[in-house]
Amino acid sequence: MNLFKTQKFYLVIIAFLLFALPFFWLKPGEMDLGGDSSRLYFYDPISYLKNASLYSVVPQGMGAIEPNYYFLPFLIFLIILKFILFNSSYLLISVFSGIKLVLGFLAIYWIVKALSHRKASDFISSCSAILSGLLYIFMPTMTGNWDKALMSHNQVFLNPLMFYLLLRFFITNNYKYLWVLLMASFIFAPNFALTSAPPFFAFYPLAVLFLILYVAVILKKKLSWKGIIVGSFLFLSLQSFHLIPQIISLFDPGSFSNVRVFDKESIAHEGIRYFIGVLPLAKASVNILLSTIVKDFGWLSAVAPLIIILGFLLNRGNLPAGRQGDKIILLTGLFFLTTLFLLTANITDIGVEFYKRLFYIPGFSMFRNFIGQWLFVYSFFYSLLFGFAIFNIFGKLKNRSLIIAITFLIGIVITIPAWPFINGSLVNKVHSGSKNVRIAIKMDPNYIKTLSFIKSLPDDSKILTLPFTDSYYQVIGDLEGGAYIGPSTISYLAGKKDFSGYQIMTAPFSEKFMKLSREKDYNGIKKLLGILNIGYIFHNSDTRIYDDAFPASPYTYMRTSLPSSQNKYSEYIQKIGGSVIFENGPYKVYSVDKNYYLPHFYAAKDLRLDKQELPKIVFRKINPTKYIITISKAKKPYVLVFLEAFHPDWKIFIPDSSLDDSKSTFETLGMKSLSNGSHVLAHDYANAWHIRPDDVGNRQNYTLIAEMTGQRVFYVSLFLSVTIFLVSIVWGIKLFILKQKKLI
Amino acid sequence: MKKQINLKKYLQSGITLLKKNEPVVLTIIFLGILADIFLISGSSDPKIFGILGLYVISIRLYKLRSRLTFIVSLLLLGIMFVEYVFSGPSANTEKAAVWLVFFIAIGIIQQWRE
Repeated sequence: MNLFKTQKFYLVIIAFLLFALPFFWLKPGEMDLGGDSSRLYFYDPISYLKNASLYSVVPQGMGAIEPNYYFLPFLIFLIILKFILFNSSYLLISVFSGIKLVLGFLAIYWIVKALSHRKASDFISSCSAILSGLLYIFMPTMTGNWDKALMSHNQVFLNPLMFYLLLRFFITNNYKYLWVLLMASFIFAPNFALTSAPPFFAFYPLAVLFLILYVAVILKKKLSWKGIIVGSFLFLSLQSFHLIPQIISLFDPGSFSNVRVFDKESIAHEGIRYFIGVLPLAKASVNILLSTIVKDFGWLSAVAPLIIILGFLLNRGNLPAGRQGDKIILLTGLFFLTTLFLLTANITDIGVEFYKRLFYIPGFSMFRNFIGQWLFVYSFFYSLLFGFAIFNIFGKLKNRSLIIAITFLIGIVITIPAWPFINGSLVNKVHSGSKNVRIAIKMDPNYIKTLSFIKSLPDDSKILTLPFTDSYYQVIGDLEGGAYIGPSTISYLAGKKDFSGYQIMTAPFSEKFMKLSREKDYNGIKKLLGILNIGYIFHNSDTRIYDDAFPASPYTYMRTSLPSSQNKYSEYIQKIGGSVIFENGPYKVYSVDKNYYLPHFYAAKDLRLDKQELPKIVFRKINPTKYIITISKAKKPYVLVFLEAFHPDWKIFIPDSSLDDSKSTFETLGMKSLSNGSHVLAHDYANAWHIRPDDVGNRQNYTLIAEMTGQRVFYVSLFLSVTIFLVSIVWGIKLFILKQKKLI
Repeated sequence: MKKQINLKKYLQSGITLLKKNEPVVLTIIFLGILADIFLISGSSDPKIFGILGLYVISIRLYKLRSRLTFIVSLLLLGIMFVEYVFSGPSANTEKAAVWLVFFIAIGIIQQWRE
């Protein structure tokens, strides 16, 4: 009986309900895998790890260099979790969503409880903390974007969890909290990588500043600088496997991140102009009122700000357990207003001008989409402020039953607007622009067989995926009216580079492809496919992913030049493709006309010379960053062309003796290589090297190694991270097990 | 020297005048806020900061408590909400929201110092 009277009982019930919620969003067997970055790792984490995380070469299109190593620990975590969950992707997605909800709720609960807790008011601090946690998890910010969620969406639980662990560490100086924080940051490394810089820099500097002010000004305690330094060192060492390669990429002139951070033209164009474009959408009133998407309950949106102001009104000297805690609401209020300004920008003309100036700080342009970047941080401080405000209100009430009744009432008021989220309609949506095609899918067995076939194709060629999309998406239908729209499964799961859309082929080639298609210049298309090393065409002729089902996005622009129906696509492929080499249901794989095909590595004539006899080339792929090339009968200078995106870190090494296989990872260290001057751009995108007989010791038959040297940095930094990880594990055993035994 | 004495004199008499007319000054401030929200269109930075400056001076002169500032915030929240219900995030709603933000900020600083 006493159990029902404890706050913990209700806390466990709420946590259980939140955890169970995602299991009802999708039917058993269904998955939501699409979106800009996709969640294909839920479907096949092992293939995703192999194809997208271990190497710096992007598995799609031309094979640009963009290190995504940060996925590594997270994918290993998913592999283990999926194994525990009977290898079910449905269970994995549901459990992961459940963990996000529960940890988000509990972390806010723990923070409010820790910051407002006094022995005399344990009951009211629990009630306030529960309501604060519920408000946080059911805010429109938190209930949106669960479909097609990006990795940054993990902020839902990571922000409050990390804040709570830091808070406990700052207050207690107990290293167990620091250890858990470090391990969580290692597993969720994608959220601490440079690509996650906007959400990271939006939250953590403010969170740390808040905690320092809380400990130093409110608690008047000394901070453990030793702990902070040790923690920072371990954090950076654990993350070094992705941070070091990404920092190097940041200072690589012309790289994507370098241009974003340092290029003034880019700052002006992508920073301020983007900011001005987004500015009209920023509304202070909408942010303050937390306007609900359920129109019938619009009036409920005034409840949270009303409680906050009442909380301020009842703050001073009204706390039942003395006045010690009253400054916490004020401190939180200041951070709430700061984040409200950063989220809204549109607060007076002076405010807007000041905001514009901020974009001249190197790196600040990452906040150009300021609404998206600051929303999570704002929601976090909003919820805390709400919790402390309601704590003050409850402090004025003497009647315990009345507090329980108000807690239930406000709990319902918070929950009602989130009903579309609770019942799953916000998650399992219909694709925008489609005719009732849902985002949840069950993988078509025919497609699984097709992927297996594609996996077995030789590494030499790339694939053209049709129907061609406007961006970098691939569309796959299922048997129950759903469709996957996201990055290519052929690249990320089968490990074969493919061109699935306009952005992947990149503008000059995409435009040319469209122009040639419009003009029905089939020979021109064949030549273009050859230049891009496309050896196969994959056609998904399912009418449910094209034709009437998707009259607009993601094909709007492509329809202006490419076939407008699946039937016309079949005729089109007959004209540009060769013969069908695989067919299973609506999925067909064609080989292209070999007369136009150019291999991954091939020898071309050196235009500076007259008559030439070209050598014979055979190559072997060790991994996406390393190839062994066997050259025979190279009597004259020639050009070695490598049909992957040009990057200065691609080097050709010349071993002294012939090799059949790679001897070691670092075998090319100190090995003679072709000079940088011989490395040139081919076909406006690819790598080529001028090779003269004296470069290779006047041999005619020899071996070369083509290697992406940037990959070595990853191996070294991975070694550092793994070493620190193992040290941390030993430290954790000492902290949690050995010290526990000593106490016993 | 004479000018300085005169300026000081004017300031003192101005402050005395303000001190003697607390209800009038506060009424001007609140009417000014309402006028800015409902009657004046377009950018109103000088008005906003002018009225806020007068309110901050009033806090010092009349020793106003944070309670009053938060009560005004409550009224501004009401205005913003009603405007939002009837006209969505219109210019008037946004102006009320901006006033609300400033009054909460002043209230927090006041309460911290009290």
